[in-house]
Amino acid sequence: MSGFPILSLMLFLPLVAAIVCLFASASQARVIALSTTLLNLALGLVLWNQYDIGGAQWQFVERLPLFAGFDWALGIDGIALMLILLSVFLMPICIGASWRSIDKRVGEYMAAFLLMETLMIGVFAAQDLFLFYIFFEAGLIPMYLIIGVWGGADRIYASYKFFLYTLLGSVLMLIAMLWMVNEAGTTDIPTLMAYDFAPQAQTWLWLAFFASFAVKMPMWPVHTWLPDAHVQAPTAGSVILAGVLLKMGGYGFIRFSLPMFPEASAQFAWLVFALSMIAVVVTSLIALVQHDMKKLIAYSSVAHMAVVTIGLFSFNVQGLEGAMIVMLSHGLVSGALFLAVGVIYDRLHTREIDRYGGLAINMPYYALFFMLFTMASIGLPGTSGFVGEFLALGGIYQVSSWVALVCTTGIILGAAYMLYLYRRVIFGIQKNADAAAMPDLDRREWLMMVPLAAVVLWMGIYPESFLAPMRADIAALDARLARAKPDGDALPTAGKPAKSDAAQETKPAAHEGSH
Amino acid sequence: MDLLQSLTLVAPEELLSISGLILLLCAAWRGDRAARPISWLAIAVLVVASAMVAPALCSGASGPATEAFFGQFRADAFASFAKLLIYASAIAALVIAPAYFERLSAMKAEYPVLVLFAALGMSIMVSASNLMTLYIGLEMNSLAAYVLAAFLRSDSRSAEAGLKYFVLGALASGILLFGMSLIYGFTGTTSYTGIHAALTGDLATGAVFGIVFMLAGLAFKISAVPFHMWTPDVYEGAPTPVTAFFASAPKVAAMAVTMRVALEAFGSQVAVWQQIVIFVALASIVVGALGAIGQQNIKRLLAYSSINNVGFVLVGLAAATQQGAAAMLVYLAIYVAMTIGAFVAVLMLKDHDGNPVEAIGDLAGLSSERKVLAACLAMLMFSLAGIPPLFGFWGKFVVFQAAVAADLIPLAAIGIAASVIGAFYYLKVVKVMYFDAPVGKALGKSDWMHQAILALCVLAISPLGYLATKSLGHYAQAAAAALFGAV
Amino acid sequence: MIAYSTCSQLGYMFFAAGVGAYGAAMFHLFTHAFFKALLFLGAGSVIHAMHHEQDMRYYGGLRKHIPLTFWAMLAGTLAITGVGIYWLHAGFAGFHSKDAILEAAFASGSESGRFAFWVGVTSALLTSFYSWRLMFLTFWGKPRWDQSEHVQHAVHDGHAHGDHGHAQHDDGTAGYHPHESPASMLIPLGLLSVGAVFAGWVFSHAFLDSAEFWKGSIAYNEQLMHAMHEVPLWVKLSATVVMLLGFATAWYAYIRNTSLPAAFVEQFGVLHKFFYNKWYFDELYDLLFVRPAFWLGDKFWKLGDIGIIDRFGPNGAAWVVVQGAGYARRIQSGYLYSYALVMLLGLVAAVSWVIAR
Repeated sequence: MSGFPILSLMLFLPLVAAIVCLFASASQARVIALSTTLLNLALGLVLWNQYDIGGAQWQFVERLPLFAGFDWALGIDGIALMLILLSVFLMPICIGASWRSIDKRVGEYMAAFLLMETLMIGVFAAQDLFLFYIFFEAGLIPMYLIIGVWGGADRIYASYKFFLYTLLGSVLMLIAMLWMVNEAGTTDIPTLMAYDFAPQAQTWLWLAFFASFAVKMPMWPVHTWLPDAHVQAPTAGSVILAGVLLKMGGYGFIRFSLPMFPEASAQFAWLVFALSMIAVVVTSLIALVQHDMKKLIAYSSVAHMAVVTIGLFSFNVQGLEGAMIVMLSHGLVSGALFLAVGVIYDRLHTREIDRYGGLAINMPYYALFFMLFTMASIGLPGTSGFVGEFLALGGIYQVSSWVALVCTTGIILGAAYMLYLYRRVIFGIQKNADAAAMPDLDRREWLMMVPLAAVVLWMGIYPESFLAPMRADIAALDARLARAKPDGDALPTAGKPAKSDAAQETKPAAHEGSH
Repeated sequence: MDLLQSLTLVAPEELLSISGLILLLCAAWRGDRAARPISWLAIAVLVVASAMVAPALCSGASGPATEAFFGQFRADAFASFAKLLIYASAIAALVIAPAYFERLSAMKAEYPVLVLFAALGMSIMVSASNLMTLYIGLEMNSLAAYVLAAFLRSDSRSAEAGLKYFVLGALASGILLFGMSLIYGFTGTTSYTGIHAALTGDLATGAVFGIVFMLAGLAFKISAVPFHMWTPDVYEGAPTPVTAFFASAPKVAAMAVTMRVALEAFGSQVAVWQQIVIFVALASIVVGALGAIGQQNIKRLLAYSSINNVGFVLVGLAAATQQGAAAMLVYLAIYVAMTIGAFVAVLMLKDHDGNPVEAIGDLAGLSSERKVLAACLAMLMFSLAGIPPLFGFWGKFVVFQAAVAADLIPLAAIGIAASVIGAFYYLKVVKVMYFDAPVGKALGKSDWMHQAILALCVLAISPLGYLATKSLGHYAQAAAAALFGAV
Repeated sequence: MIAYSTCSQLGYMFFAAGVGAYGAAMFHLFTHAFFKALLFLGAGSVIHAMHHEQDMRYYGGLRKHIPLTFWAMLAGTLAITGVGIYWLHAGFAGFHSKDAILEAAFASGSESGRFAFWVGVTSALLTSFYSWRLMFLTFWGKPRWDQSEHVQHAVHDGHAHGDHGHAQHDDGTAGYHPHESPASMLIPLGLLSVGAVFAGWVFSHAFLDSAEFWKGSIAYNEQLMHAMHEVPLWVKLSATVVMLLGFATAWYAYIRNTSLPAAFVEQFGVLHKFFYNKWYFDELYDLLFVRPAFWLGDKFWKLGDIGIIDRFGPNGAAWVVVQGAGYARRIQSGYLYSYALVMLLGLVAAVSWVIAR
């Protein structure tokens, strides 16, 4: 491994650009932001290329004892690598999405986004507990400003709700972190991941972390900030919010809750399952009745994130891999869907579903992309959504067939609301003259859509590229969790060579709670 | 211990008092024309005094070698830490004042002199290791402060502030004095070490009364709930440079005295006061936050914010450990930077005619009219709210770290959850500046000295501040060690 | 219509699988692939020819206009209805597979097997009837597309371009002349026709009579396969017979006496409506799933999210905080005596606390 501090460079590059943007004119700021994010994407690809699959668990490690009480410690494993790649991949697209639709205070806007990029990478790359917390919390400030300054009509309520909701969730985590560091005597995340806290203490620590990550995720019933924030945020804000910020919750579970508190995780798995099951069904149903496109997609995010939590707490490799792929896929797909909404919002300045209709006629290419992302959101085989959902549900099926059953209903409802949305917007008659007069995608929008579509298909067809770097880490996590693994109620067996009688069917045994 | 050694230990105070007296004569002789030169001289005196106290901190002075006048006075690292903060606040209060008062033609030559005497009083307070010395320092500071609050004689709000401060301050002094006499009565000594030694085992009711009364009197000085009622009125009414001074230096001094009294004199009876401090801390956090919501005046808002911050500092006191004391000092240092920065930013909010703009609603859209000022104020607000990566977070962090280490987890959990309420009103200021449509009020030019001080404060509370955590933590540890090493 | 017919053919496969004749089920799936794809593509070709008109009541006499499509569709129909001659062991694709299923059902010997057999026979009758109805309505009789909106659109577009005068057409064509589809559509039709005709005959043995073919990938029930060849002759012929019966009925109703369907509708109005509306399955689904889903979604949103979670969660907390702020402000009256009172009350409270402790 080279000693070059590439992670620090990736953190500081957008930060410096952000400061420059503050003093630049609108057009300069756009160019600076785009070139910086592209450069960071290139660095991210270098990171991927240099990442040694099967090598050390933590790579690109940097450690500088700069501060009292915590260190400037960076380093990534495969999981963090993938999430960093997701962040740097979405950023140039976000800048592109804001190219024309943002025309006031462009410099500050770009600065906020670049700052956001620094903090997102920081969250995933931090190897010090408190450094992680600082990055994790700091993300609130730029997002608050992005929603509040460049948001929609009801932006102020949404920005407050976003800020205070997530702040309240995460402050308790800080107390838990302080306790952990006091107990274990180190702030080093890899060390803490292997530290065995007393089961009694784990309960409290787990709950404190859960409060934070559940809000961030978001899980039912602490999800209500999300629809408001999504609806009011500008397009690129929604993309980042759905694409990356929600992943911080999932990342938190996989990096902290599960490895640091395995017993407590097993103990509370029933809670996660119950909330996720409710979330999948309830939020899918809510998504069905939305009139606002962004709100619909926001609620669908909650449902998808519930699949992530289900996968994470299934305590097996399939579930964990599935959860990771759902996170990555959802990052791309929901980002793409918000982008798609943004494309027509830029033209008609409304998110009301009823104001559109029959767009397949005047915007055929748009309809094509929208179709692809809709299908990916539903989880059609061949798209990224399928791989993740299938693995996650497969993982949970080994633990509780009932949870799997309920969550599968969510997938069906997912198909229902997404197709219903698609039908209302893209098909049907062109009932609104102004909607019918909208031009198809221009070159800039093509440039944003094509990479997203390509990666969605790539991940759907050959997920191995994305799973390979994470495999060893997920296996390590699985091994760590093995001692607390709950017994599954469904015991699927390998298919035996068929006999003359009816095929072997896996029969769900009686439900016996998952705890 | 000979007199000369004692006089050497109190050299900074001697410098302050002698130069204060000389400057007072100059002021009487030359009149208000000399206001500016006297200000600069006062600043120079304070800088020299700072240089004189700094070595004690750097060497981590503690123990008998730091005691002067037979244990009446202690010039240890702890006092030195507090004094540096006090002098820095006083310097800031002097630097920012002329631009403000001159516009009102109220730049009196007494102002720097009063600030000097207040600083002297506080200096004595934090070094006091005897109830008598404490009271002298406290009253010296208070008397200067009463006058400063009412400094704009023609302004009825200023006069009201001075009067309220005086009456309630007198009441608080009375409570404190009553507590002191009870303590003296039950222990037979006024020396901290003596009290510490005498207060052992089960206490007589009178001694408990004494402890509570003394802490109540000090709680008034740090404006902790329920002795906080004067704060919003005085902060709003007093001239803004004075408010900036009040919110910083006397807070540090009073807090340092409280630490000395609670941890040194009453250090053997932690159980008696710990629960009260926990309650006062939480009440201050909550009431400060609630009170700030709905305020229309930014100075009033900052007054409640200071009450709120005092609550967080007291969380460190409740821990009653050396780590807690060090955390409090770190918090105070950051708090001074934040609060001076915030008040200087308020000073810089002026309309076209140079009249101060204090209504929060008038800040609407400031971010598009005065980009840098709005950005600085927003950073200060986020910092006060304790949101990382701004340095205000670090203060809360160390304080809660100490509380958790002392096993006060419920206190830490409730306190930090209540900080979310506080975040609400800091956010409101940011919201008004950034989200609302511009009203074109606060357009006036600002003084370069204000800009310089603001820049310094913002630099200190910016994420760059984290680079200072090591040295800051080191000195705070040394100071706290001196405090605990004294008994 | 063809999609519904798929459902019924799937029914065959499932009951074949149900009685244990997996080979037969797979065989039917295999042949069905040919003829159903053929029928769909043929229908597509017809629809293309008729300018997006999908209602076959507006077709008629298309045999002459699109002959190639006609022949392909004919092959498909013959296949799906299972035309074949038992004694020669030769017939169209559906003949082999469907007969195999029916025989297997009968041969399985169980009660449900018998029941399945009779249901199968009945639906074979219906299959034959509706398939031929399609053929007769589409390709025989007189053109009836003057009533079709789609065709009228096409004609009017043509007029707008000024190709035609406003000639009156009383032959039911409204001046529209369907045209054969291009080769890109016809070639697949041809290929599939070949399959529809020969697939059953060629592969029957492989699918049904040999365990080797499957190599254990599905359970091969030797006994059943054997038994199904031993069923009585009438069982073997039943499918052919009902097929002919269906053909005859369709011919009678749609070629010979075209008023009969109308009369039938009149006489059995309720029944027709029931069938015409697809057994009201869509309505049932709408009532059972769609409406409750929307209702629930609405309730979860407005009552759950907004009414409970937000109201008592964030907004409730905000309300409490604002109330508290109101009290905090009210205490802050500005009067010295009230300030002093609060201080003294606090002092008393603190003293009481330490004494009482």
